[in-house]
Amino acid sequence: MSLMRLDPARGRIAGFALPRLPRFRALRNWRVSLGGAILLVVLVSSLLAPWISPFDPYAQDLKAALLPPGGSHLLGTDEFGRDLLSRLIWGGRIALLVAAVSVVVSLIAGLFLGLVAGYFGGWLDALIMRGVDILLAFPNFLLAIAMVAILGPGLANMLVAIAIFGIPGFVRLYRAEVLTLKGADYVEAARSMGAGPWQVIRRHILPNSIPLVIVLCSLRAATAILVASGLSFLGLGVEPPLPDWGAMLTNGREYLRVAPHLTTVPGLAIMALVFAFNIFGDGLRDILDPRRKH
Amino acid sequence: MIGNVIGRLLQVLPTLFGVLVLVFAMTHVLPGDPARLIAGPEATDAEVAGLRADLGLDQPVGAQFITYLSNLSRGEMGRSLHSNRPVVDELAARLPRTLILTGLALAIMISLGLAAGIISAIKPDSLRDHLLTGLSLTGISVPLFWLGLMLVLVFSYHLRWLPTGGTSSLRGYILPAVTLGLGAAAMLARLMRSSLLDIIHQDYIRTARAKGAREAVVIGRHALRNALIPAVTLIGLEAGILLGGAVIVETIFSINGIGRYLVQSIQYRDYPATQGAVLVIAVIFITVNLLTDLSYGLLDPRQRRGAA
Amino acid sequence: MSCPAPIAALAPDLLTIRNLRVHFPGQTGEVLAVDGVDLTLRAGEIVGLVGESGSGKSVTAMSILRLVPGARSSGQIALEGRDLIGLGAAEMRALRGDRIGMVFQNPMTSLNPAYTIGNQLIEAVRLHRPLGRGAARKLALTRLAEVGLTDAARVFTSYPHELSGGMRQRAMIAMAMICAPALLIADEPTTALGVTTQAQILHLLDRLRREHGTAILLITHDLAVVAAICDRVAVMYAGSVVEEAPSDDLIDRPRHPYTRALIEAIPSETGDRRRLYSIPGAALMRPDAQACAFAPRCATASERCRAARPPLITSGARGLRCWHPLEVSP
Repeated sequence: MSLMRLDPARGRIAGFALPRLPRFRALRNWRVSLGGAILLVVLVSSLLAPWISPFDPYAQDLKAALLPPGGSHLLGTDEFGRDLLSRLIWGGRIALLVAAVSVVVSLIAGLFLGLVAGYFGGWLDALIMRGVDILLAFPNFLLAIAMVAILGPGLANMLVAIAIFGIPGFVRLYRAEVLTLKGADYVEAARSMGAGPWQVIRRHILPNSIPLVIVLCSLRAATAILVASGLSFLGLGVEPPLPDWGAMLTNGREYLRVAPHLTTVPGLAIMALVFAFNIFGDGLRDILDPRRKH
Repeated sequence: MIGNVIGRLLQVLPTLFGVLVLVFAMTHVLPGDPARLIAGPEATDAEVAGLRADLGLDQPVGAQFITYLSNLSRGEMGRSLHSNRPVVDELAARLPRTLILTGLALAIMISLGLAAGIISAIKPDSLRDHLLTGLSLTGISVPLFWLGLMLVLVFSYHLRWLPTGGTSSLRGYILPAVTLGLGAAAMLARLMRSSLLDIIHQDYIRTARAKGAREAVVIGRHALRNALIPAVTLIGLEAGILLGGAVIVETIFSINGIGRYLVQSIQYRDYPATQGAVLVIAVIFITVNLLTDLSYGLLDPRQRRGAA
Repeated sequence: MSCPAPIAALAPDLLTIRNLRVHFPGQTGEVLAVDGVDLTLRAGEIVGLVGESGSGKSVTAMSILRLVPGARSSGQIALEGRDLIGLGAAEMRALRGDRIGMVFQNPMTSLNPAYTIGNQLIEAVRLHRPLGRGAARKLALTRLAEVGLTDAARVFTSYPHELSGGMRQRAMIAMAMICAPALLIADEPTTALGVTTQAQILHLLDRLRREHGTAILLITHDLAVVAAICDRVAVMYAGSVVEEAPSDDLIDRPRHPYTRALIEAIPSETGDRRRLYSIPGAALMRPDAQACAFAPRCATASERCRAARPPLITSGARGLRCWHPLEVSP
């Protein structure tokens, strides 16, 4: 009995970093390491954008417009003669910003609602879960479009729209997590010793949920980037002249015949980043849940 | 079975109501004044006030919602601010194209997704499994519009095999439907693979082998039937993703369906049209999910007779 | 309720297993799950294969059907004189469900939830017999009635989830017996069931072997089950048979220390005050091949036990793998 009371997250000597997640085994999973490597490349190059991008991403040079890849403009130039590689590097910032902001916002909102629903139950739970059902009744992308239709286009509104439709996933996750952990022996033990709800949540439920949350965040980030680029493509998201990958691609579309690299390159960048988030989350989930691994 | 159907229908009602509230709220939580927007910038205050009264916007919100519902029940969604034609007529004219597009995409998704998932699961960790897994991971990561443009680049511009769109013949639907269906197929393939692999380790699969069944029978008869149950859930959810994706694909390939209508009406700030399009897509989605829910009963006997 | 079963003693050998070894090739080297098992079943005989979980008894049983995924077997398994290990895949498949029936531990999960009992029984018939659906249905109904399902017609059209655990296990047995196999392998057939149902299922197995002359290999961790119906028992420890004897003999006069420990672990029927006996230590997965596998847990182990592995010595109806057998007390 005493063994069962040991919270796997608190029973560690070395503190809590990634409880339940075997840290080194994670890197041996090729998906986690490949995904992580791509994410790292995008992160580092966006952070270093002012120093490593060969040109000013906004500098126009109409004499050098629509250059094919090669030469001094490694990836060619767009219709205004702006360097594609530089815009690509700077665009990484927007992509990561979109992913980070929307995921963090839906995480916090979902965390709050999910904890409340799971911990207190009753009519609050019923109310929150009905709301989640209604949000889920809209196709993801349509919901984002509808939101942008209400709020108007633009980066900020797009972030809100994407964040809102990310909420249901986190609500469900935290609610389920709370319901499972509520019955766990070590949580019962903590409660019997007089721990209040907030203490139980902070000391037991939050640390235990971290691995699963990382997985969900990674997969949500992938979706967020896809949806954001879709919205930008429809002219409902990031607006020119910001070097957003989706918006760049949309511009390039008009030159699909004469300068296909304007479409191909940003598309590949979006795909690589989404792919990285997807395999990273996927690989982590396999490690956390060995039953799913085959 | 019939009780089950009625139960599911009743469960849908609150969701439908919520959707209606949300769609209604789209125009009413807006910062601007719809009447001023409709009247245009040159209108006088008196004209705007008159229009507001005409539209019933001076009524309390509750009353407006009831009016909205009663109009809807008579099949009225107002007139498009852009074309000044009834929104219902405009939607009805476009609906078939969207249904053909998503229907074809659904067919592509199901056939490719099931096949790829099964092929992967039969020999896990084989070369073809790794190939298909890689392909499906790529498939769920490709931005839809980019895939569409790349297909146009290759099959229309370079190879000149297929038109870039146009809805006069089914040929025009090929590229759009493939664009829309591939990503969804990748998702289904992943699900089929993992649920088949789960099922292959179930006791009743061992029983089937112990009975002396051939491997093809073990997979085809015993595993597949049970793997289809989660697949159907996904197909229902995917229908929603396909409808959302139709917005993009219709825009790329210039198909005048509901999706493109939605984008255009948002750009024109044509609120009645936007509301109508969102509502129609949401209702289609809810209906598809209801149908998939009901089809469980056919696949999973445990759902059918309500016994333990 | 033990039966001396003189018929069985005279019957010809049905299944002979000689020096069966089963390996699992793994990333960290091979794992030896079965290490030299010898076992003989005569027609119409019920033989118990007893051991703790991990002792290799289930792997031994599944090896007879050649349904151990990822395993490599060596040695000899002969059924009715045919060697099974060298048999082609199609020939092996023809034997499964026809000459060899199999009943698994958990009747809740061993039947396919998507099909009716009747559907699954008919499939089992038609895999091996050129019968029409009608004739197969008739046979299926006969078997269902035979295993004590009085309402066979209703069970036939039921889905597994609509039946109780005991009924499912009966249906499972009906399916395994559908082609009247020469050998029925039952892997912990009563473990998942309630006490009264357990006894009923054991009676049923005993009756079926009398009616059809089917030999039964009964795998169990429970010596009480063995005492109830088995003619002979083989006790397995760490991948090999350590003692083999007629079941009355074995239970009354165990000679291997491990067997005695198992017998003492049976909760007595009369007194619940008597505490459960447990064997100290845990079975090793990969015992030292140069020693008696049981030596680390054995109270009477000597230097000799730790230095050399005892051979299986047979005398009369008994076999024993021990350097220091227990004295037979009167």
